[in-house]
Amino acid sequence: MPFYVYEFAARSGYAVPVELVERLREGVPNLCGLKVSDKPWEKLEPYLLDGLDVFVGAEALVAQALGRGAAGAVSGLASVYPEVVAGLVREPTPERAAEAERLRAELDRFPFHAAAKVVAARRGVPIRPDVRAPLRALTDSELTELALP
Amino acid sequence: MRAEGPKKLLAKMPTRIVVGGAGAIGASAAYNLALLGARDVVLCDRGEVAGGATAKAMGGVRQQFSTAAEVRLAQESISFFERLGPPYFHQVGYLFVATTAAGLEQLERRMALQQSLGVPVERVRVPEGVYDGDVAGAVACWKDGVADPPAVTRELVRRAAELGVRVEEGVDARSLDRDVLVVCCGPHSAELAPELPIRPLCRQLLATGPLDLDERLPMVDPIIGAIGDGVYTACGFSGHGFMQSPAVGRALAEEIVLGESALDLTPYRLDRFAGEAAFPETLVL
Repeated sequence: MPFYVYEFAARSGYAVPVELVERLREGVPNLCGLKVSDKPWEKLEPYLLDGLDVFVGAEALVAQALGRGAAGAVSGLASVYPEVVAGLVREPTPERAAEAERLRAELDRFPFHAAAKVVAARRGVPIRPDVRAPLRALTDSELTELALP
Repeated sequence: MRAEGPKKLLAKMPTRIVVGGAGAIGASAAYNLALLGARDVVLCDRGEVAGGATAKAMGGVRQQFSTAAEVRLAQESISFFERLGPPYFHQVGYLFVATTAAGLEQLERRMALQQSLGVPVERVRVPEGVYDGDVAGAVACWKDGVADPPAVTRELVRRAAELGVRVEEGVDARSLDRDVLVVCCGPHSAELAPELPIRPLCRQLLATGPLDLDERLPMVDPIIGAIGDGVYTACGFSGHGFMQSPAVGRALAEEIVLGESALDLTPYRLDRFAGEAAFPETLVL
């Protein structure tokens, strides 16, 4: 079974050290790669290791990372705007990167999961906007303020 | 008719019913109490609506159980989920695979029971794209599916409130005056009714490829119905309370308002523990 390390220090509270990933690469035959959601670039870059498929979480860094050998992206934004992120991965131009970054920044003004579900529903996905506790739903004023279609 | 039973008048009497716990089970109970005409119902939670186990539930909904009683609860629940429909419930089916001859024999035995009760479960091929190199056989019911537990629960609370149920978040049921207490606090139910043999048990959910699992997992021991004078409960579902909440809430409300339920609650009575009767459901995921 393929095995991937998920590096996201901002969420988990601690980083998986690069040295540990290197040891895993040597000692664990089914380690295939990592998802790295760290930003900015200086925190992501050390994880772009030879012999491992690295998938980038921060949309703003996808284009740069692909240029340095990253395998692709695993993106939260892609659950709302799959065509934007897929386009960015297939053709990582500065314009596509800027568009992904703009959409992410707009969603990040609100509790992300709630905002993402609201926008996905607006885009025709058959889901409810409810989120699971302890996450919270958007308030009425946030719903009005969230302008993304 | 059952509706002519001696307790039928409860709905018209000045009886305050407090439902403690506003998760899937409590919300369903409160909603069904109101549907049956109970006039003074308070649904309260010391936290928030859908804030406990309901917030963690995966939302799988299936009729493929191994005892007739469980299958009947699931059938009644599915018909409610079907009426809710998308985006609350997506009827995408539920697939069981066996990797050994003995496992397949067990699946087929359950399938025969389920079919005898009218569940449209059938032998199927493993869906395209799923690794089937070690699969001995599979069964599926395409009327099963996946629901959104917090969304379903909030919708039931909304409907209950529309029917006059008072909804109180941040309120402990013990602090409210009442004639009837309905304990729907999941693993914490014994805090309200110490006679309940229910304790919290940490469980883990893990998304994986196929695993060879021994199915003798911890026993599921739901307790449903009256447990004392003016005290009722529905708790102890060990992980499939959400999927059965429509039928369980209905049955509980019928017992409280009408005196008895159309569904047979005998296997779920608290007093079964006195005789040390073991609950026979083995298909607990």
